Amino acid sequence: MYRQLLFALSVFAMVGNAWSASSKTKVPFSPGALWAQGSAQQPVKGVVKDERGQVLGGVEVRNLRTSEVVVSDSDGSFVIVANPDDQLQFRSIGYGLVVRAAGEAKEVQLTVEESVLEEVVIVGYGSQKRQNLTGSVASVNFNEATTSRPTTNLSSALVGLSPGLNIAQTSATPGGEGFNILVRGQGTMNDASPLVVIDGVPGALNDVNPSDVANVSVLKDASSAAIYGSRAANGVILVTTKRGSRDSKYKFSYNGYAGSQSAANTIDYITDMATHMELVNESEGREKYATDLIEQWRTESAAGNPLYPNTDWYGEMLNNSLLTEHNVSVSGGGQNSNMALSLGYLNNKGIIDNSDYKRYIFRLNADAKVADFLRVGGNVFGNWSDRDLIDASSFFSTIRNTTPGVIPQYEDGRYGGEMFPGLPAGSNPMAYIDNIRGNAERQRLGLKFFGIVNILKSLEWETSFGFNYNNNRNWQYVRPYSLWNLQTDFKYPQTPSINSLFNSSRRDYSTVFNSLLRYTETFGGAHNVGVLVGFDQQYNRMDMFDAKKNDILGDDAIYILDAGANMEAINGSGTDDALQSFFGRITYDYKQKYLIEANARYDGSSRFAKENRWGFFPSFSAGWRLSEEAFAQPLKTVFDDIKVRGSWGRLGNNRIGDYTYQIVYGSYLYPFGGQLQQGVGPTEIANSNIKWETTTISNVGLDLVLLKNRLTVSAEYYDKTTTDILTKIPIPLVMGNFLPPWQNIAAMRNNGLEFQVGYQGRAGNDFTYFVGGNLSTVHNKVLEFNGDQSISGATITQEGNPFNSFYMLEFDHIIQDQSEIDQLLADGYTFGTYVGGVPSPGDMLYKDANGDKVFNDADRVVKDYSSLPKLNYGLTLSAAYKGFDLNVVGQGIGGVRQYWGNDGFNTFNINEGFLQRAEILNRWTPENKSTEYPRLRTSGSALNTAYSDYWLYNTAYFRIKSIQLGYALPSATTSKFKVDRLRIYANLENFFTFTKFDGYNPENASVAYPLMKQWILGLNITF
Amino acid sequence: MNKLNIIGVLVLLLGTLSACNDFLDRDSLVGLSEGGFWKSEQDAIMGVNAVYEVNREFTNSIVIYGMMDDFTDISYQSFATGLTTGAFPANAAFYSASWGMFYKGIYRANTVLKNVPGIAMNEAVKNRIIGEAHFLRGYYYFKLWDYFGGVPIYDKPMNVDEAYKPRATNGEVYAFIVNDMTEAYALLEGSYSGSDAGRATKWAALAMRGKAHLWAKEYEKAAADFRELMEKSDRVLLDDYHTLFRVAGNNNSEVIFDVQYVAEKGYGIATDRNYGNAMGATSGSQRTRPTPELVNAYEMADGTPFDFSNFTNADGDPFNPDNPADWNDEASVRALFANRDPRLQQAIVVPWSTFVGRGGAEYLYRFPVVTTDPTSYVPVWTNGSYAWRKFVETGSVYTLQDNMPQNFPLIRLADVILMYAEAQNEALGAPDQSVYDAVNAVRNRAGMPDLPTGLSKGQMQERIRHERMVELCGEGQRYSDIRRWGIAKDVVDGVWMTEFTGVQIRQRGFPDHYYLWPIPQSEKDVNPNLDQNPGWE
Repeated sequence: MYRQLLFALSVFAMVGNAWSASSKTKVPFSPGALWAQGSAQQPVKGVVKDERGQVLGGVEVRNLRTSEVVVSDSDGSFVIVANPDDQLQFRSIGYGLVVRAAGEAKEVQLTVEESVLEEVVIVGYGSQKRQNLTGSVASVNFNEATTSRPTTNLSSALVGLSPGLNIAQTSATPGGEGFNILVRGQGTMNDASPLVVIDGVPGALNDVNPSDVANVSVLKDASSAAIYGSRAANGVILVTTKRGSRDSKYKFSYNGYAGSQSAANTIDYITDMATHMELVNESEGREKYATDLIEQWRTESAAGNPLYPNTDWYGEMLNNSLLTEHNVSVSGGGQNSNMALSLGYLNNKGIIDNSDYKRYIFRLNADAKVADFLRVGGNVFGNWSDRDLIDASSFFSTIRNTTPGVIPQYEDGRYGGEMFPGLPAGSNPMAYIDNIRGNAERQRLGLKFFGIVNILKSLEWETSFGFNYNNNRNWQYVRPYSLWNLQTDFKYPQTPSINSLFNSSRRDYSTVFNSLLRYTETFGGAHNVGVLVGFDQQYNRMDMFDAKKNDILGDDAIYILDAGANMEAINGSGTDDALQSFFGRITYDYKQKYLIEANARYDGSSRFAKENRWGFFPSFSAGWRLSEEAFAQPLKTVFDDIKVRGSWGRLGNNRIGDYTYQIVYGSYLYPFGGQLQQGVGPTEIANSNIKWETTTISNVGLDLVLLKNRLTVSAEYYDKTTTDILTKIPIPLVMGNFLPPWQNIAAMRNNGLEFQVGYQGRAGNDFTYFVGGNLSTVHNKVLEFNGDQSISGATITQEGNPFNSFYMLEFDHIIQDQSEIDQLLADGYTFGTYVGGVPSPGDMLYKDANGDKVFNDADRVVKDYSSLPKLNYGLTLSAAYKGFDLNVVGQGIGGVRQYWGNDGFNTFNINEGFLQRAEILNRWTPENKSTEYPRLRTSGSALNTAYSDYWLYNTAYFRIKSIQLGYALPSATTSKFKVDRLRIYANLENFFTFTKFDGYNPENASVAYPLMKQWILGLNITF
Repeated sequence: MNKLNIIGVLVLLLGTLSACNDFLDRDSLVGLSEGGFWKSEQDAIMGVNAVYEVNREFTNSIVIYGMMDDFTDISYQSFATGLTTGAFPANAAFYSASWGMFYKGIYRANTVLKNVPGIAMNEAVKNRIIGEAHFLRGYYYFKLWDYFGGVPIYDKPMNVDEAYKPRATNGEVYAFIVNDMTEAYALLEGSYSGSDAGRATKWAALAMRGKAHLWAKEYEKAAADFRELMEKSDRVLLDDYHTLFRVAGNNNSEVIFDVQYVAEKGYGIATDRNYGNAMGATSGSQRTRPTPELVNAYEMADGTPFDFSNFTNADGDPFNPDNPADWNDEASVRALFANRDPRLQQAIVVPWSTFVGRGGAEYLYRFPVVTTDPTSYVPVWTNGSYAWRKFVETGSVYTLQDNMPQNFPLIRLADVILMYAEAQNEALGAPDQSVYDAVNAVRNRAGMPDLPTGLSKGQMQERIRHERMVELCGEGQRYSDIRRWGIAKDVVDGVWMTEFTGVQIRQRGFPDHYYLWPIPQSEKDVNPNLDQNPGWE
């Protein structure tokens, strides 16, 4: 019911022009003036914009001849009665004054004068003017172009927009997108993702509809983040959603788009079965497939016999699909109250069958001034989503475990299997996908209520209570299916042997209570003092339950467990944690010239034993606005503002699991005499001495505003050192095969530079543009690791090197002749089991790095790279010409490598029954002595599969995330339809990626739901 | 509205919400904290139960113990693993997972041995629990010793900084196992009933001590232990060989120590999947298959060796097993499997035999395989493979594919009797009557005639080794046997796995260094005090 209603509303919005009559724009005017003038006077219509082409509301428009005054609407439009020759004056706080003849005032651009400095930046538990900032805060304002992109979630929308914020998309599963978000690099060996606070309540970035967002602030240094104490070590992202503005007419707006998406990148695989078989024969060194069989396949498939397929599985299984999103909102306010209401609908079909995602999302933010001294307000938000349960890694493993010789689905509906008697059935991705049904349903509700009491003129008391509730219910039904050898009509045994049904439910909730006092006062007209003290208390709780039964009644997606006969499993689990804190901030400045600030938080966490439970996290910062000094006045011709600033502080990280200080015994059942009996044993070795990880950040910065506020430049240097890092160094397995206990033994440093530049320019009256760029570097180094090292697969962590540096053999060359091997053996070289023993021509020769004449694991060397980029950069470009606007966002990373090899998708060690990468056609053979690619071997061989830099790829890339071209119809035209603003746009998302990496996605070399590229057409309407 | 009233209400609210004192005390919602454990008899029992659990975990997650035979000449796996081809490197997860799991059992046993003595409880139960812990610790050390050679010895739950010992010598580990089994023998009972079935008995401890002696080539000591077990224990051979490997045979009179299972997800064994076939209730994948070498090793019912040259094909020519056409004639193939050691048909499904599969229906293994006839037995590998009957439930009604309630025998009386014969034969210059009696007891139970008399020590050794191969096939014993006999390289290395029609599948490898598993690379990375086994450097 609820969903239908939402859907009806969003559909209605699409055809919603008919609605606009009731909210028709009233033309404000001065009554006396209209009658006094002759017939030459006409209502002049126009629109006011800023340099970026964004519409400006609240601009005062004055007819200098008649003194009539009107104010532009929130969509920038105005109507004023004037002669074509009349001079109109446009004025708005923070913008330069513009005077224009009425006849040329259809579209007027205002240029920012003071806005850069006057801009209000959201900081922890408050806001500050940019000119007073002494910490490092990156602020991203969301405009029409940002929220119109088909990003579907807030993480994607932020990519490239903020210096020091690196967002890598690891999976594009619709509704289950995975991101790795880091602020100023990986600051700890544990969960290094930043704290996300949405309107004052901790939450998750992707729970916010991007189109509801007004602003995102990234708190990067200790000065700005210390007020979040024990959770702030990895940075804080503050999301502020839109609220209605007071004293403005209610506006209805719609934005929506529809378009098509497909995989952003694909890899070529061998789709010719005859070739496939020849390659398997070559790798196995025998006629696994008889030569006449191969020839028969080649002949029959060329003749179009469907029983001899050459299936292109990627082409078969990855689709082009529809992506559409609709958002409607109403916002505005009267004298004492205001509100913003939004409803959104998203439908992402994904590019793999049965991976649909639908989301209905809403938000209501309302405020009321109930008395002179009291304001109350609340936010209510939530969403309802449905997601089909395709597990991308299982799906890709079915693609990996098939061959071009398998028919996806025969004309009579049967699924194909391998067609070689005596060999396994193989796998059929289409059968796999068709026979798993399921749904992940999620309902999320968030509430926040607050009251602000003005106790005195300069003292206010704010108290708020927030509550987040999350309910997940999943079901999955797996139906057995059979594959057929369609050539012989042989039916393979069905898999799985019996149908089964899985149900799970999970509930999360959290409560946040906080109360704070704010005091601001100016003494003697020069000393500005601000004080904030507060208390905060939070509780998080998760409970989950799941069960599985088999032998389900019927076969048609029954999803209630009572339909099953046999119990397979029941599991239940839960965790909770609590946090109590006191915090405060003092700011002081003298004539806004010398700025000083101190922040502190005192945090108590349930995650640590009583003795180590409370931690104190202080920070100090100072700034000097050089440009305000008398001696600097000559510089004012070029520099509008010069500020140097510095900060130092300590932050904590408590993200280490909820009960790690407790030794916990778990259940290990064992059946005696046919009866399961309880067994109890230790599950984890504990360390009751664990304490906070402490991150100390020093930051210096320089902010410049030049050329009449057109150019802003900001540069900073940071040094972020985390000590007492909780880590689990491997312990001997003789300890009982436990996971190692947490220990505060490591230290790590990240330092680097950040730059941000923005230039707003114009050419002529109609063309304006903005170019912005940001760049940040991260240099990571492990300072302490207990003098030890941790090797995991192809990476190592040890003192003096970046965290998780690659550690592997170095590939030297492909051996071309037996004589070379003979020579090596004659020279006393030996080959260990690690490299697969003595090689043959066509195999890889590694470097004997330690010079001991033995090729083995001791030759592994530490590489200067890890999978964390050393360089991140972003680029934004926007331009406006008359009704047209263009917005481009680009993003890239550098100084990064990823390991991709021997995962079955990228290897020269092949067997029957697996897809083969097209690249192996270039392999070494005695006839084609490749120096680049090894010969074919089977997967059981350790030859050519050892961890080596042969498989290490440079995954630096630059991606044009988004290109958006929009056109807004002139308001003269739209007003005929009672519409204030109508903009159509086209957007290309993730379309152009420049990289040397030839895997799926340089953001994540391993196999995941492929990144998608979208092209869409969209519409923005306001009335 | 009055400002002071509002402020008053808010202050009150603030006071209420922040008043809770224990707000930050949060105990785990799912676990039991250590401080509250090891207090009662119930705790002690639950503590030792968890030591058994490791055995189940090993058997379930590494490879079903019986599938260790896939690394020998008597069975094979359908897809390549480095253990069958001789290509595993020292960092293969197989080795580290096994190593870690045995030490997990040892750690838990040490936890029991540390904490249980101090608990006030029934002394008899306490003694039993301490005995079980000694037995299981010794058992896990035996497995480590068998696979890895000398390993570090830890006899108490140590701290991390104490976990970096070098390897103990072969002799030290042997002595430690003997000591644990001696302790266990003194403390344990001879049998259990009902819901204690499956716990270690004193006979299990005696058998393991004898085994340790046998592995150490202390033949007289071994023979003495096995003899004592044969004379004093209540264990007797079960009449029906086939039932030993069915659910109906759980806790039979012959079993000495096993891993116990029930038909519940996570607590059953995956025999139906791995040994089973398409006709079973859960459609097994026949991951392990008996080799033609094993099938051909079964004697004729009269005790003479089997030989293809004694049989003819459809044309009356001598039967050529490497000629697929010869296998297409029903009558001549049936003749191959008639009048053989009865254990052949009880352990293995051969062409033209029947199998009672799901729902109690009888399926006939036609060859060449017929897939269209619903009464036909269809193996997963249709080219010409034998299939296990052993451990595959007949007429199965169980539907949880990886969770059969079939107990898996680790030591049974026939094994002990044959080990006695072996030890006694090795200890003497020539076999005495007790050696003949032992081997004949096992043969007679299966319906086979006595051994011929007058065998030399060497001939008797051959007979005992053959008897162990066919009697214990598919139970995993041979993987240890051929390594301790030093014949593994001879019987495995370079040998092709084939279908019974002679079609080659994959060549096996057993390099010299395969007699011992490597110290896992990851363990050596953490503890440099560990020396590597020869050939694995």
